[in-house]
Amino acid sequence: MTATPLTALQRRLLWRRVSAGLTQTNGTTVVLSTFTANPLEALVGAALHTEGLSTKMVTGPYDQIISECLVQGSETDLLQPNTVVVWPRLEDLWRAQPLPLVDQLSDYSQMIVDVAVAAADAAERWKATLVFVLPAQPELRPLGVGDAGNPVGVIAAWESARLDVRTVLAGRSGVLVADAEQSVRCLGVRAATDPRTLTAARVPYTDALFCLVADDIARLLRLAKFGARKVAIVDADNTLWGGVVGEDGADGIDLLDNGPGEAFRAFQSWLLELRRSGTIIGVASKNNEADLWEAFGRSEMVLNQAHLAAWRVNWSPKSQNIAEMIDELNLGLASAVFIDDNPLELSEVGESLPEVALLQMPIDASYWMREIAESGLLDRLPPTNEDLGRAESYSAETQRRTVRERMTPEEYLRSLEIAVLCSDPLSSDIARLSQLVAKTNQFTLGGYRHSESELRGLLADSQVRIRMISVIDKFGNYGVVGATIVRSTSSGSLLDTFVLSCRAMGRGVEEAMMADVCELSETAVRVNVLLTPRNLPGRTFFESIGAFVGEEALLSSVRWPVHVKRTISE
Amino acid sequence: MNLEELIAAVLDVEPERVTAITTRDEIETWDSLAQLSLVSALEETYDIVFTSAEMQELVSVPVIRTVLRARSVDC
Repeated sequence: MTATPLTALQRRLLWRRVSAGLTQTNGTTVVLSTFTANPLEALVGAALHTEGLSTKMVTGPYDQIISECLVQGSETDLLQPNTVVVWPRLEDLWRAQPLPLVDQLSDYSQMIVDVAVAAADAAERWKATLVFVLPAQPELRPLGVGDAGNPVGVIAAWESARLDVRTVLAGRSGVLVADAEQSVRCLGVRAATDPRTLTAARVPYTDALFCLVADDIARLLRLAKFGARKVAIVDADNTLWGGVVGEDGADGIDLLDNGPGEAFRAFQSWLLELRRSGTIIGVASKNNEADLWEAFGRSEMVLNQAHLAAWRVNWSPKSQNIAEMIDELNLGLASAVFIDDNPLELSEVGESLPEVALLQMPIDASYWMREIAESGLLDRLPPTNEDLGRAESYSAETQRRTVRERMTPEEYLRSLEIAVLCSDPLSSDIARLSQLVAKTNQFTLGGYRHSESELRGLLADSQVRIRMISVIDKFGNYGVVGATIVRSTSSGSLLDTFVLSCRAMGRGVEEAMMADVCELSETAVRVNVLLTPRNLPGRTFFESIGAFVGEEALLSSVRWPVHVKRTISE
Repeated sequence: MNLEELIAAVLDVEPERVTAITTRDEIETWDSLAQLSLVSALEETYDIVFTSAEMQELVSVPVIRTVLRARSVDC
């Protein structure tokens, strides 16, 4: 029986309580995406907790899926996660290109295939489970309604990209696939996307959408860990047909067309579909057995006795009947789902056999499919490679080889064609710099933050050199993403401030910034890194160049990275 | 939960830290991501939708209260 879903706020508060008690032994789940996915973190954490799969949660650096997966020593690599959630958006991956209109579809799927393969390879290396979230349909379609008919348009490219990703991921062990589009469909585009948070913080989706995707991620992981439920035990009266056979007689029960009876027959057909995919069907009914089989004899019945693996038709408590059947089938109680229309029967079974999952047939039988789908209780994963005799797909292997050949970390960085401009700011730049100093939490020294008016003062101070860092790569212009401030003091140069937006982290920009600082300074530069709750990326970088928390370092020889072009000011 | 309690819950601070005159500068956990959670929690709780401009202005309890009251929210 499905309880009322928790609101996003309730989930966040739940997660706060739960996460405080988690330790390394619970394992770690890392979320990587091409957009700001931080709001998803608590919602996935809470959903996993609800499924009995609590882990620590970490949101990886913004828009760095491939480098996080490929680069040894990346933040994610250091965490050695147990689960990685990877969720790219096609809009983000297509930034460097015009939207699909006339070009080949493959031009628009290669990037996401690369992301998928890099993620699956990394997960394999980390012995982690990968949950790959297939992207929702891009909302920007220059042809509008006309895009639907364009065989190389936005929707076509989206469909083909998703198919390609499914194909390369199919059969890889430890890989689960979720679908953001499914959740967007469920809510509708207007309730699922938020243009305000997209522009303000690159968060494209609403909490409502994140909740649904989080639930799907947790359901998939639950299926992977505990397996699908194997037995559906169904009641008969008002579940397989309308009415009560003991009162209405076999002729009186409703299995007719064009009405509720049709919904009951559709439910029976669906039980046969389940059976085809391996679910065992049983019946638990309080009836005289003869009446029940008479009802089964109706010509409109889809299900027949031969389809049933077990049945109990008597007046004993259903919990007892279910326990007997599960025992007879040599299965565990946790593998069973009991479907009944009567809340009293459901609660009797629930109290005696808490492991059995319960599903209430709605009073209006037309809604049976919605109830079942939303409960997720009878979901199953696609047949695994092992099931299919290890028929590894040829195309997946080829794709993987290409990406390995094409994408060593060095080559990946080189392929970005990054160019960094370090320049002296004008007073008109101070507003932007002050915003960077105020907002940057992750890539900082962790020290004092200068206010806008203090920065104006520093700009005029001849003993202080402020540098403003702009970055461009083949995907586009990042704009001003960082700043450094160096003070000349009687005891040499001191790095006063170092901030870099997370959008530009991990691509050599930080090395270039420090190289610039060293080049401009006549003496070695004193660097003091402080510990804050959020500046792990900054600390990690400074450690890599020899500046550790709590001890002053003297830096003089940080080299400008070879893959980064130097754009000369003016 | 009243408005101050809701804000304290979202920002994960003791309820008494958030009063009718608290501003963003006074609460260290009130960063840009918390701002998003706060906007989302206010919208969810009071069933309203802020404009982009309002979303950026909601940086103190007095302003939040003023904006909510302008939407006829009793808080």
